[in-house]
Amino acid sequence: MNIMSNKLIVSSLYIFLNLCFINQIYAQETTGISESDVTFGEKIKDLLSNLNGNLKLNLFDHFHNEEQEETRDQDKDRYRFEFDLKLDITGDIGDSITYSVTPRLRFDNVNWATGVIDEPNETDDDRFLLNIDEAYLAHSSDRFDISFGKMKYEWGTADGYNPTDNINPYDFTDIPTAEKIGVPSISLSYSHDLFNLELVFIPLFSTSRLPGTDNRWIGDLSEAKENFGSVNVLLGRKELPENNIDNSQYAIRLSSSTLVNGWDFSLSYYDGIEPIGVLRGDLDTLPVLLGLLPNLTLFRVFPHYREFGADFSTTFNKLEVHGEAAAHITDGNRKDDDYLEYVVGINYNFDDISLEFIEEIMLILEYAGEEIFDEKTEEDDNNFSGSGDYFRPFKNSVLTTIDIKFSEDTKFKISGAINLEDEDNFIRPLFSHKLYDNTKIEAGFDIISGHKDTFFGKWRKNDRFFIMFTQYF
Amino acid sequence: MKILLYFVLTLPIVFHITYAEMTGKDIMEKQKDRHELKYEQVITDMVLKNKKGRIRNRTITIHIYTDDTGLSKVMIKFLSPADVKNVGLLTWEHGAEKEDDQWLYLPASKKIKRIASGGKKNKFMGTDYAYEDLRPENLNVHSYELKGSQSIEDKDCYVIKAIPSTEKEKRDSGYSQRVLYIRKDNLFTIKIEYYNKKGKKIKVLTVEKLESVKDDVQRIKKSIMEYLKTKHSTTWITIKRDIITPLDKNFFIQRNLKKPVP
Repeated sequence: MNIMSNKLIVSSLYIFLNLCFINQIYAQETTGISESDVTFGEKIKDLLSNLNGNLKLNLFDHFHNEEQEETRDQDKDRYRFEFDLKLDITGDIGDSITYSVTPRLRFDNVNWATGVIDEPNETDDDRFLLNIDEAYLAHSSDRFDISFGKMKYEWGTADGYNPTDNINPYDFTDIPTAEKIGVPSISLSYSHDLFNLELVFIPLFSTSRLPGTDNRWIGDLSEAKENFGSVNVLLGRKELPENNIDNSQYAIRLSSSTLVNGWDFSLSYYDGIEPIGVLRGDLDTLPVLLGLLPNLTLFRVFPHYREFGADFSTTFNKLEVHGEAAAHITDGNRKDDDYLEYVVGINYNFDDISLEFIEEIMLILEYAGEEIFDEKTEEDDNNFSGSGDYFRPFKNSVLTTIDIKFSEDTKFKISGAINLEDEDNFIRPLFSHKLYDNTKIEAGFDIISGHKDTFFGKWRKNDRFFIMFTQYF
Repeated sequence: MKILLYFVLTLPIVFHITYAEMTGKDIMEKQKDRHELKYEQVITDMVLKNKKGRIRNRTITIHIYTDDTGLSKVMIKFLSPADVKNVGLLTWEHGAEKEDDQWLYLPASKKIKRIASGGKKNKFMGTDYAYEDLRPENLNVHSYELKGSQSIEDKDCYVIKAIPSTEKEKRDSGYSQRVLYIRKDNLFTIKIEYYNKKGKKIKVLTVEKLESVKDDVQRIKKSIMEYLKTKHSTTWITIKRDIITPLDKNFFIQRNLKKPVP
C-alpha cells in the first residue's frame, strides 16, 4: 500500500472513531456521564439530528489458497480497505412534496473508485469517488404517488434472487457485495382497494458495472479463453445504445394483497435493454499473414429484451411461502437464449428454542432454476456469446440463509448458494454485534468453491476474511 | 319523602348488585366501549434498561384504525435509533379464525416482506413487548374470568384472568394466561401479569401515569414492562398523541409502509 493509501486509512479511522464518540453521547449512555458532557452531547445531538446516513469501514483479506501457494501467484490486491460514507438527506417542500438525496463518498486502496459522477445515468466502468446514489422528488396523494429522479427499485418476493427485479443495473465491482445502481426514472403508483399499479419509465440506459481486467473479480478466464481456441483475445469498447425514445425502458407491475385474503400476488412486465449485455466477437485474421495469432476482439453489446414476471407470497402459521418467475425474451438476431427463471422458497422462524442463549433462528430456503425455451444454438449468429455461461448463475440451485439471533445485538448468519449440477458454491458465514445502538461490527468469510469452468469456481481464488464497521447516524 | 329516602337507600344496593353480576367479559366489553377510538396516532419513546443499568432508546410512531367490527389495522414505524429508522410493520387483523396479515419493511434492502403472524409472541425489536402486546385487546379470542378485586396504588381494581379461547390463539400466543387489573372508577387496565405456556409469571406491565384524551377516554402516558427473570425493562413514554386527525383504512397499505418518516 502506498503512502497516500495509508493517509487515507488513518484519516478514515480518525473520522470513524470521532463518530463513535459522538454517537455515544448521542445515545445517552447513563454510566459515568457528567452534566457538562450531557449539555455538550445535547448540542451535538441537535446538530446531527437533521443529518442521517452511515459510514462503513471495510477490510478484506483475500488469503491465499492451496492453488495459489503451489503456483506462487502474486496477489497484489490481497488486502483491500474501503471507506464508504453515505448521507440521507430528506425533507418536505410544501405539504405534499418530499425530496430525498443520497450523496456518497467512497474510496479504497486499490483505486476502484475514481472521479465524480457527471451524468444522470451511469455507464462508466469505474465506481465514482463522489456520487449521488439516489436523488428524487415525490408527490403523494391518497391514491397516487409520483416520483422522478434517480431511484432504486425493489420488485419481487424472493429473498436470495429476484428474477422479476430488472429495473436497476448492478455494480459488480466486488461480486459478493454487488449493489444496485440508481436509474433516472419516473414512477407512478396508483392504489385501488383491490390492486396497486406501478408504472416506471426509464428514459436513459445505464449499464451494470463489471470487474475490470485488473480487478481480481474478473475471475479465472483461462477456460473461456481455451474455448476461443488459438486466438489473441482483446477487449473492445462497450457498444452503448443511443439515448433516444426507441431505447428507453419501461416497466409495469400490477399487485394485490386484497384480491385473495392472505395472499400477495403480482404480475410484471419489463421492456428494456440488458444491462450486463452479451459479448460479440469480431475475428480479425489479418495478423495470420504476419505469422501471428488472429485477433478476437470482444465487444460488450446490450440487446433489447422483454420480461414477463409473476410472484406470490403467503403464510401458513409460522411459515411464509413465496415464488417468483420471469420469462426473458431477447430481441433480434438470436443474441441470447430465451428462458424462464424461477425461485420458490420458504421462510420459517424457530422461536421455541430449548437453548437459552439462542432467542430465535430464522431459516430461508429457496430453490432457483431455469428452463430454456428457445436456445441460442450454433446455427444461430455465432458472433454472440450469450449470457448463459457467465451471467445467469442459478440454473439448478439451492439458496439458503440461516440467521441465529443470540440477542438483539448479537447474531450469526450463514448464507450461501449451491449449484447442484456443477457443484460449485458460495458460502458466507457472518458474525455481527452491535457495540452501541448505532455502531455495528461484522466479521466473516466468503468461501468460494468449484471447478474453474463453473459459475462460482472462476472466483475460487478469492476466498477472503472481512471485517466491516458500520456507524449509523 | 319516605319514597325518596327508600329510593336513595336502595340505590347503592342496586348499584352493587349490578356490578357484582358483571362477568369478566362484561367488564372487558364495557372497557372497550369506553376507551376504544376509531383512529389514533402516537409517538412513543421506549427506554430499554438491562439489569446492569445500560440504557437504549427506541422512538416509534403508531397509527391505529379500528373498523366497525372491532378489527384493527396498525402501522408501526421507527424514528430512532438511526440503524432502524424507517423500519416499518403493518398489521391487518382478521378476527378469530383467520391469520392476520403482516408485512415488514426494511429500508436497508428497500423490501417489503410478508411475514408469518404466527411469530407474534416474539419480542418486538429488542423490547420487552411482544408483537401481540402492541395490538388492541381482541375479545373474540380470549375468555375472561372475574377473580375478584384488589387495590393497586390506592385504586380499587377488578382482577380478571384472560385465557386464549380459540385453538389458533392458544397456538400463536406466547401466554397461557394474563391477569389484568382494571380500575373500577375508569375501567382502565393499570397492571397486567403475563404467564408463559408453562404457567410461570414472566413479566409485568405497570401503568405509572394515565392521561385523559377525550371525555372519559384514557390512555397510557407512562408505563413499565419488566421481565422478571432477566430484570430487563422497557419504559413506554408517550410523547405525542393525535386523536383528532382522521385516519382512513386506506392509509394502512404497503405503499405507505415504505414512505420515510418525516
